[in-house]
Amino acid sequence: MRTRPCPRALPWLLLVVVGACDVGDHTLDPDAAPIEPTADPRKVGLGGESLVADRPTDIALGDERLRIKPYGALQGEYERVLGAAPAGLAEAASSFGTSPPRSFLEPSVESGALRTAHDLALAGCDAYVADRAADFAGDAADAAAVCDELAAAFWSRPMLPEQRTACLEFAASVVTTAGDAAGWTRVCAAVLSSAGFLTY
Amino acid sequence: MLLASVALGGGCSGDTISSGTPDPDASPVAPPSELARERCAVRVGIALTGTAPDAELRAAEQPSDLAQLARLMQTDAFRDRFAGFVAAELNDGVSDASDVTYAIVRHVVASGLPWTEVFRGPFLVDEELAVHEDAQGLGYFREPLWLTHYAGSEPEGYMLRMAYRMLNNVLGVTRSIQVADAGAGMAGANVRESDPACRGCHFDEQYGLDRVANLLPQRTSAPAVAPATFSVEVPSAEGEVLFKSATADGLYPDGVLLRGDADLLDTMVESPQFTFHACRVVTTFLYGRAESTAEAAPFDACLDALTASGLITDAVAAIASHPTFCEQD
Repeated sequence: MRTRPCPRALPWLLLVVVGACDVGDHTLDPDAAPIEPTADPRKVGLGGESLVADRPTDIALGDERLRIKPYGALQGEYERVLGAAPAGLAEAASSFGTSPPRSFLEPSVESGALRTAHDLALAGCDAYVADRAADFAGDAADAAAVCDELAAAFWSRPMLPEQRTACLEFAASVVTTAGDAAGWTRVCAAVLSSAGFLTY
Repeated sequence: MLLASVALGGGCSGDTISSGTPDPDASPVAPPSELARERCAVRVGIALTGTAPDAELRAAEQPSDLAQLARLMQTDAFRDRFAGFVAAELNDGVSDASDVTYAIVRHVVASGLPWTEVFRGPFLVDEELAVHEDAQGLGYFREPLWLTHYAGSEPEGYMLRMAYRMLNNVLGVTRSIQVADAGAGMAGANVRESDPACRGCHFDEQYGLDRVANLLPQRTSAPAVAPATFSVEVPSAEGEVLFKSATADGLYPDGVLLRGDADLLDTMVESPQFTFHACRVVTTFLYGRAESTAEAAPFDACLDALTASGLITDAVAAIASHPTFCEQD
């Protein structure tokens, strides 16, 4: 599966998983120069042809590496970040798709899986927010800290500026009072059902 | 705090391959942050086993170091995922043929055998997909289920589908049908050789399909009969000039003379193209796509490792332990 660069601005990034993209990887070596095909004998075919001629030249080192997590990893992944897998995950295999036995299918995310991922995230975040009431005691004015901590917890990376802006705007629209558990659960679910968590 | 739920630890900057030779092209990597190590543990765990990182991987100072990779590659989860991936890559869908490929790949990996054994090892696969030693075996290329699946419909019994699949599996050769009615499969070998529209792919170009099929068993049953039957005798005593062009450094002179499928496979697996293709399969397993020009360094590490030991697990480790495998801050 080839992933693609992330759009510059994704107002609904936190709600919509758009598929694997290259958030963050671009810092590895952005100035890496393409390596020209050489006469390296390890890269010469039986007929004398270059074996590297078909290599893409427009993918920088570290770019286009994020892949969708397979369904088989989600139980452990939800447990890793939430402490427990959300109810309903065991029945969600058909939404995400699985590899046939003794074979392999690169996971992809279709609209049904997006909906399921968000439903699972809501279920998981309901308990997550309830268990951490002190962390979600504030109102939308405290969204910056919450967004940052959710990204660290679920994505293991900081939000990009545009992602953070989207998180703050979403929190402002759904968190109506201090300690609004339902509102914070929606913010939590938006982060948990995004590409930051569903890719690796 | 929210972060309390995230166990931190592990790293992702392995710096050697199994040969013990540091990659001179690798960029120096600063110590990863705790978040970067957690991301690395997730990437390594899922890429190799298809499952979330276990506690040991997350606690490791460097999740992608050789010790962690070796541990993961000893698990059934890795063997199943890798063998399933290779079976899917080398076949045209899930079938009895892909099951045979899966069984032999898994056996070779679990037994620590050279990767060449997948294609020329003396194996027989039984109905339960258990692999046994059998001197008549030749990787999976003489397995009845595999032969039947790729028997094809060539009217004279030449196994053109098998020829293409072997070239694709061992060397990564790809072909697309260029002639509108080629799929009908009704043209005999004499027509394919005389018709300019056919002759290129079948005789003139490198890896001409008929030249390869001339070294393989023939189907003796009628097309589209199941189960197919085969003659183990090659159609001719010897096939010539499979690899027509000399390479610049003279690795293969014109007019290599080969006798049968075993001779063909020996020639192919000893070529640099075999190693190159194996590393491309490994790259695709680990990246989800083939390598780009900018990713030559980890790919070269794979070539070095596979050339040195012949083990596909060393090829996997070379790429997964490279400092570029995990995302840095």
